[in-house]
This record gives sequence, structure tokens and C-alpha cells, in this order.
Amino acid sequence: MAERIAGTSHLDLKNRPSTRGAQLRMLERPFKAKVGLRGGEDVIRAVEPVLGFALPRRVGETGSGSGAHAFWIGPDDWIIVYEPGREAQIAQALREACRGLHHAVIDLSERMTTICLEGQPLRDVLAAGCPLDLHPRAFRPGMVLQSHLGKANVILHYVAGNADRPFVDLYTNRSFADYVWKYLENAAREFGYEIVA
Amino acid sequence: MSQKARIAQGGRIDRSRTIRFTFDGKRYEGHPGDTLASALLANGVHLVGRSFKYHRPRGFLSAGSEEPNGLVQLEMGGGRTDPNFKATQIELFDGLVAESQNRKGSLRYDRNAVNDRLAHFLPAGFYYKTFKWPAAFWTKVYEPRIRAAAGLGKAPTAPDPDRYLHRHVWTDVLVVGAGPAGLAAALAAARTGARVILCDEQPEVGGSLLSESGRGITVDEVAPDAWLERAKAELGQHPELTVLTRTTCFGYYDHNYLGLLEKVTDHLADPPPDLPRQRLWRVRAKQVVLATGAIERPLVFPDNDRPGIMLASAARTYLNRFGVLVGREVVVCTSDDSAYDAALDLQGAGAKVTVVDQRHTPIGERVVHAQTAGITILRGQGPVGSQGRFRVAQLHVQALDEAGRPIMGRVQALSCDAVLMCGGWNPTVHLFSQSRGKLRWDEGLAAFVPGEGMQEERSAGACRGSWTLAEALVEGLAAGTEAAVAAGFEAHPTPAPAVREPVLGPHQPVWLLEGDRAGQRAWVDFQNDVTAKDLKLANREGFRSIEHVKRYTTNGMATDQGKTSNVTGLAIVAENLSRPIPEIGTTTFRPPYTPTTFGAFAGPSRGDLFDPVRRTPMHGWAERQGAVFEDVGLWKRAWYFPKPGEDMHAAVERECRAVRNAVGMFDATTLGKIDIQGKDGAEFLNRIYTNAWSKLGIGKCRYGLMLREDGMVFDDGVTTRIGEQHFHMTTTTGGAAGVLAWLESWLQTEWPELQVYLTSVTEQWAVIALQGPKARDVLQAVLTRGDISKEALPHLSMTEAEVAGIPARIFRISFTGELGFEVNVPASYGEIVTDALHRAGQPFGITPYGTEAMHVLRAEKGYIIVGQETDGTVTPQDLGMDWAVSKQKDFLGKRSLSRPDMLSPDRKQLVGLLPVDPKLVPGEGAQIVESPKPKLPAKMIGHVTSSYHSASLGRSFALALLSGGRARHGQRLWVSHGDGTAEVEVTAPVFIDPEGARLHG
Repeated sequence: MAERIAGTSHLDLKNRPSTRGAQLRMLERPFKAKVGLRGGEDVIRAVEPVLGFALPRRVGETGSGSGAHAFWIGPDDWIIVYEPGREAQIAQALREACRGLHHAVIDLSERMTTICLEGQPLRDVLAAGCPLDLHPRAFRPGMVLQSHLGKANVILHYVAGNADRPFVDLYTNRSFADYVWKYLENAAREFGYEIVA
Repeated sequence: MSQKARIAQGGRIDRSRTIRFTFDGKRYEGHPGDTLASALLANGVHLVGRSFKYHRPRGFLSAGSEEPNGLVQLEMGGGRTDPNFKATQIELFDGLVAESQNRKGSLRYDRNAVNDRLAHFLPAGFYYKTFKWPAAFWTKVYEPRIRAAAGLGKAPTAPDPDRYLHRHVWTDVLVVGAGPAGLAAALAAARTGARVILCDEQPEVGGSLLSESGRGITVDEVAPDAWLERAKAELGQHPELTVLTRTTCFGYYDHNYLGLLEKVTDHLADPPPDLPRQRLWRVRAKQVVLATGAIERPLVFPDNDRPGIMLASAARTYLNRFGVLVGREVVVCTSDDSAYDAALDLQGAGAKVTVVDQRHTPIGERVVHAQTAGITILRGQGPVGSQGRFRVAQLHVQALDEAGRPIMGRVQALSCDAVLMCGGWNPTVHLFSQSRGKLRWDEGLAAFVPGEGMQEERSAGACRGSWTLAEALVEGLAAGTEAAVAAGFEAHPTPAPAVREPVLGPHQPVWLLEGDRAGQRAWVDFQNDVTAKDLKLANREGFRSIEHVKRYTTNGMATDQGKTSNVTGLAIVAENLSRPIPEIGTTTFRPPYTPTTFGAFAGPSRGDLFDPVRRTPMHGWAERQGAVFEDVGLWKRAWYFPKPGEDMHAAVERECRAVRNAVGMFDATTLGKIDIQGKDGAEFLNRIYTNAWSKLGIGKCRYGLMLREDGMVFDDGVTTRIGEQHFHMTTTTGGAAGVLAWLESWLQTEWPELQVYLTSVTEQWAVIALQGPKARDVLQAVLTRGDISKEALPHLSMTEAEVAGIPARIFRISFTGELGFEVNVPASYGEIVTDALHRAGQPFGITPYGTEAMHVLRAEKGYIIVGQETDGTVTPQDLGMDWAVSKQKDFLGKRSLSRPDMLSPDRKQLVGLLPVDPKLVPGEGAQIVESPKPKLPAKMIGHVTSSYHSASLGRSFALALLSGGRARHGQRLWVSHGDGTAEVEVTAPVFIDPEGARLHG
């Protein structure tokens, strides 16, 4: 019986070699809900009551509340992420709120996948291909960065944790998950990593 | 003991452990802490190489990365072989195997040593003068022979088995060089809390202090050694200070972006497999401190290149750092006080030392010390020749006049087994110069020092001509503090250490010591065999610019990049031309500072990670169906689906027949998809497509052509109106990213007034194309919601429906000329829906088909592929697609379409070709000519763009761009084929169902 296909399905992560108990842990969470939102000040005012939190206004910032995070992508561009299953409902509520305004609300849940990274080595591992400053002074909990890892575009969301044990969610387009995953494995080899699948 | 030149104690080597290594097949022993060079010298091996051109016997000139002579090939097993490694930089490990280079036969009996006898015939530029005629000899005789004779090491032939990684890092302060100045700078910066990186090419920090005996020097009342230990201990106390040893800063680029190469495992006999061999650090530094030290200058005198003749600082390093005494009977030739340190240290280790000082009245404190220690000092004299075949045995010295010219008179021969030279020092300004800083000639120092800088950097210590330890420490402290403050940190004043050291006397350079006999050669560039005579010849032949002299003589163009030859070379040129040195200027310093292996630059970008490999969600399904894949952009696309025993031709025929007669299914996921929202969406489409969009009804699709400003076709695709202010655009697979960037650039820079938002949704959807007369039957069988009847969903329309329980957008689109649907479902459901359609299609003979069959099917119908029928020089009219070009509205490229040349009747136009031999398939790209055996050069009137065998037609056919093609329908022409030509008939470019009855079925 055919199944839903994730970005790394063909890599068979369950049976892929990794080191139990390694400091760095990685897994793919392919089906989180992601909704793209475009609009100006009027749209911000219209959707904030629906979201229940303020949209971020500056580069690197996120807004969060009730299990959702909004990423700043551009001056009139956000991606809002939720746990799986609510994408249609969220998108509908946002569209209702924006009725009559110049806006775009678009479901991107399937376009992007999420690779979750946890553990102290992750900054060095990401720094193998990401040219941004990932030092704890520059990349702090609650921040989001848009960059690339090698040749793949990525969004990095510092979800929680501290310098010793950060949790970072990496978002990339689904067909790049294969490349990103292998890139991370190659960079993480010297530190050891555990695949959680 | 075999290590006969090893002294009993002292140095930074571990005598308790012995390391075995092999050089030129012979086994030797050394100790941990040795370099290959120090271990060879410990074993009394001075002959280590042959020079590039004359194959002269050569020994080590230096002990560091400036080494021109001691190049070796490292054999590391498993396909690992690296040429041109400097033995002075190779850390010894157990089992190391090295070979000398650039010899034919053995080092002692090099058959190419005959070149040295022929030196009169091989001056600078002989290459350009000698091999000019006869012209035919170049490829057959000269080049093969020169290639066989030239070259240093052997390039590896097997793929590089090692791993290389990159690491991006940002820092407040980068300090390059961990000598006293660099250490002081790094610590000063780190104390402010700034993020600091300190890098050094050596395996441990300390720089010049590692070679220091400490004679007569104290720092804050302790020996320099003790100060170094203190500094090292403090390095570990700053959590934001990163120390990178074995790490060379090889390049200084714009915006304080610097490249560092860390040799992670090169020094290990058995490297852990999980570590990369080398790591390229890509550093963005707010501030940079250069503390790169200085490189000693050799003296240029006749026969100054014999093994055993080396830099004074090198002999001191071999003694104080590695416990190797390079000679028992040593002559030190100098024009500078610093060489007296070597004289005193070597004398202290038991050598008999004579100093030959070019200066008539040297006055520095070290000179006094030497005199007190009983060392013979010959003042106002200089070396003018040497003897000794594989190692120097005699040095000829002669009195000099005040200008440093030898005075006619008695030549004294001093017997010796080592000669140490010091012609002063060159600040290591390479990185400063790379950063576009301007160099300044300092007459007092007789050296180029950093002048005006262009980036956020400063230099400290010897690299700015400050020779003393006290200056290094003071300037390092100041530079580190200043850099941290400039990076936004607060510094607390720290007193500079109190240094006691001998006072330096002035340096008096003597750039060239000419011998007593004509024709003697004095080496300037040791690696490339450039002598003072060659420079003179170049000047005599009219070369005046130092850049031209460099290229004519090859001075400074070897793998050492002239570290020991550039400044002496240009000083000699200045003398030849009677011009001051600053007027001659320097050649450009370019990265890398030392040779850097390609693997490090490539980093992880090889094998699986060379490029992303993009797979559609149905890739696994296609694999299980036996698909063969082809690369389209970064995507893997199913190319054809061979059944057992089928070749590609048979598979494609079967797939095409299935589509024409029953139904085929095709993975169209890779097509670019752009979501367009906003009230000006239709107007936006009007401007970027050639046809009109305002009146497109909701739920309707339209084909559009995009042109560049020059009127040439750029992309095409079908765009659908999903809602009043909502469109769904498709683009070609390869053009997707480029089209989105093109649209955004127009929207953001030219038409900001348009209210339109664009979002890429290529990867949001999996797309399954069902094509063929039975397509509706198959889709109907799995349709769980919606109406796909002919009436509800006519050709070029779209409906929201549900397929196999999955919400879907169904587009009635055909790229085959048959009844067709494109089913879009959320990407992760692509395989589920594909599987459901495939099962439901079994009774109808459903057949998966690949890109090859797709190409044939669309060509039969005359549908173009952008990038196949177009090449950036093709307009819509050329393609016969005027029907897609609006006469009413304006659009990108429109004005170009009415230029006179665009209307010319002999433009290449799209036509069909039917080969007279129906089995013959012309090659794509084949030229079209007007006669079967045209007179050469043939007039080429067009070319084949697509060419296939067609199952439906039962024959071959082709599409072509042909000059004045539309007027030639019915003509017989010829296309190039194999060695000759093949006859074809020109037709309209539509072969199947020109009325479109099937399409609308």
C-alpha cells in the first residue's frame, strides 16, 4: 500500500546507521503545517487577532503563540508554522480576516519539510555549509534566519534551548531534503549523530 | 647513532620516541616534533632536491613555508600522493614515505644535470627564442620534450580518497600569526570579551620564540620560553578565543573575508576516519590583526645555491627548535645583526664559527657579544663564490668597498660545511597586499612595509618592520586592543611587558655580490633557477616593468611565489636600471599564500553532494516500475520504462502507442508552478505574456509565451485562473527559478504599483498527467468528487475535485495532442494517487511513459520545447505562433518584434522534415543544406531541432529551424548525416491531428 512520501522517505532513516546517544540528534518532521502570508500594514492588523500574537516586523524575528510560530521572511512576507493537520483551517481563517485587502494566503505545508536538530554540535555542523553567523551571541533562541546550506536554501529556526543544548528546526523545500540530510550527516560525522526515526 | 647532526639535548623534540621514515627509498629515524627537513638534516642529509632548469644539487634554504628547494612528493598509500610539499612544513610521522622531485635517475646522478653545462644556451627567455621554428616542430618535438623534462612532482592519477570540509565562521578579531606579536594581540583582544580567532601555520603557537635560544633576553624578568608558557596558559582561559594551529591564512579578500586552511590530519600516521583531512575556514572578521612576521633574505653571490648554504634564521631554528646542528665548521655571511644570534647559538652548540660581515663597522650589541665569545669576524668582506658538489666545502670571500662592491684583490677561501646567510629581512606583507593595502618602501629598514590600508586591519611586529621582541609585544598588545575596541568592546589598559634584549645596529643591504670571474651565476630565485645574470639580460633586452621582467625571467613565479626572491630581484633590477627601488615597485601578491589543494576548495561538493539531486514524490514508484531516469536541471525524471528485453527504442514506441491508442500516465511534477494573487494579476500577466489575459474566465486555462525585452522566446506554459484575483502559472522545468526571479524583478523594480504577490508552489503539488483516448475513463474510475465530463471540463479548463479521496486540482491540458488531464495533488500524496490511477487504469491498458515518449508525442503534434526549438534567438513569428501574440496590448518584448530584421522573410522558421528514407532519423543539430554534395564551405540554411522515429506515423520525422522555412514547404533539401547528407522533404510542423479533434474529445 502506497504511503505519503516525505523528503527523506527514500533514505529509510529507520535503518540508516547512526550513533545511539550521540550529542547531536536529527529527525525529519515532514508534515508540519506551513502557511505563507503576504500583505501590508492592513493585513497585519487584520490577522493578528486571528493569530493571537504579533507578527514579527524585523529580519531574524519570530512571533509565537498557542503552538504556532510566524517567521519573518520579508517586509511583507511571513511563513506561519503549526503542528500538522490545521493548515486548511488556519489558511481559511486568515483568508477570511484578509477579505478585501491586498494579500496572499497560501498553503506551503507540502512544499517544505522540517529537519529537527538538537544538541551542542549543531552550530558547527550547520556552519559547514551555512555562511551566516551562528554564534550564540548572534543566533539566539526565538530567532529565524534565511540562508543556504551548501547549495540548498534553508530557513533556520532556533526553537528553544541554550548554547549547550540548542534546538533548531531547519526548513527546506522537499526535494532538497535528500541533499540537506546527506550534507548534515557528512558535516556531523566527526561529532557523531543519532538519527531519530 | 645514525642522527649524527642531532645534539644531545635541547629543542622541542621528544628524544624518548623514535619515528621511522623513508626518503628516496632509504630508511631514516627522527623524533616526534621533527619536520621532514629537520629529520633529514639530523641524519646529515643535505642533498634533497634538484633545481628546476639546470638540475643543480640543492639543499634546504629555509626551515619554513618560504622553502624553494626542499620539495618532495609524499606517498601516503591508497591513491594518496601529493606533489610539491615543502619538507620544511611536513611534520614527521611514523611510516612517512617521501621522494625527491625533478630528477632523472637518482638525486646524486641526475641525467638532466647536463643542463647545467648547457647553461650558456639556456638564459632567460631561451624558450621564446629557441622554439620559434620550424613551426611544425612545436607540437611534435619541442613541446613533448619540454613537458617530459619540466615539471616538479607527479600529479595524482586516482580520485582523491580524502574528505574535506568547510566551516563558515564570524569573529570580532582575527589574528594571523601566533608569534609574540600575534599572541600579545590575541590575548589583548580576548581580554575584552571579543570573539577572537588566532591562527598559525605551525603545529604550536610561539612563532619566532620557538626558535629562540633566549640568549640575553628577558620578558617581565623571565626567559622568553617562560613568557610563552604563560601566554599559552592564558589562551586556554578565554572561552571566546579559538586557537587554530596547522592553519594557514592563505587569502585576504574583500569585506574582511579571509580563507584559512587547517591541516586536520596531515600530521597523523593513522588519521581517524571521521575527521576530514583538511578544513577550509571561511572567516568574516570585523577586525584583522596581521602578525605574520618576516622572512629572511638570502644573499645573492656566485654559486650561492649549494646544499649546506642556508638562511641564518633556518640554522638557528634547526638548532634551537629541532636540536640539529647543520654544520661543524660554519661561515655566517651577513649584512644584518640578526645573524649574530645564529653565530652565537651554533658556536654554543660546538660549531666553529666565522662571521663575514659586509658592513665595515657593525656596531650592534650582538656583534660585541660575538667578539667577546671569540668568534672571528671579517668586517667589510663578502662572499664571492663557493665550492663543493653535493654540499658546500669552501666559501670564497673578498674585501668590499663602501658601496659593497668586491675590491680586486686576494680571494680568501674559508673551508666550511655550512654557510649561513642573512641579507636582511622582508616583512611578510602578502596578506596586507592581498587586502589591497599599499606597500611603502622604507629606506632605513631596506624593506617594503605596510603603507595605507584599505580594510579593517592593522599589522604588528616584524610584518611591519618592527624587528625587536619589545616592539612585537608592544605593537601586538596595542593592535589587539585597538581591534577589539573597533569591534565594539571595552578595553582596560594593560601595561606592556618589560623586555631586555640586545640593541640592534643598522642593516646595510648589499643586493648583489658579483664574482671575480665573468659568467658566474648568482641565484636570485632558487626554485625557478633565475640568476642575477638573467635579470641583467632581461633589462638589457629592454624589459623595464618589474611585471615584464618577472614573466620573462620567471623570477618569483615558482610554487614559493618568490618569498625569498622577489625583493632581491627587484632591488637588482633597480640597480641595473639605476632607479630607486620604490620606482620599480613590487609585483602583485595573490592568494593563496602557500599552495592549497583543490580538494579543500571543493570541500564537500563531490559525489552525492556535488549538486542536490531532486526527486519527485513518485520517484520510488517509477523505480519499482523499472524506469530509467535522466537529469533535467537538478531533477531526476523518468526517461522511459523498459519492459524486460526492451531497448529504449522499443520502450518509447510502446509508450507512444499506448498514449495514442489507449492511455498513458506521466509524472509532470517538475514543471515550475507559481501562485499569483492580487487584484492586478491579470494585468501583470498581460505585460509578461504575449497574449491577452483580462478576459480569461475563472476555471479556464491559457497557453502563454514569455519573451525577453529583445523579443526572443524565454519561457512558455499554461496559466489558469483559479479565482477573480488568483492565478496558477506553470513554467518549464528548467526555467522555474529563473522565471520567478524575472517576474519578481519586473514587479519590484518596474511595476511596484501592481498589487500582485508571487509564491513558488512547484513543490507543493505532485502532478500526474493522464493522456490518451481512455484518460477520462481512468480518471473517472478513481474520482471521488467532481465532474470531469466533456461538458463540465472542456479542453483548457480546471476543476477542484477529489481523486482517490485526496483533494485535487484537475486541469484539462494536453501536451500530446490527445485527450489529457493533469491531476495536481498535495505532493506527499503523489505516490498514493499515482498508484490508484495505475490500478484503475489496468483494464484500459494504462502505460507509464517517460520524458522521451513525451518528447516524441509533442513533436508529432508540433508543440515546441523552449530550449530545444528555441535557443534565445527565436521569436514567436519564427515559430509560427503569431496566434499567441496580441496585436492590441503592450507586453515585454513587443517593440523588438517589429524591428526590420525580425520581419525579414529569410529568418529561420519552424518547419517539419520528413526524411525520404523513412527509417533514417537525422541527428538533432544537423545542418540543412541545399544540395546533396555542397561545395565547401557549405551554405547552411538551418538546423534540425528535434528528431525522432514515430510509431504513429510509422516513420521518422523531425522539426527544424529553416531559413525562410514557411515558404519552402514541399521542397527537397538535405541534412548532414554521418559523413554525407540525407534527403528530406520540408513540411508543416504538425504531423498528427492538425484539426485538434482528439484534443477536444
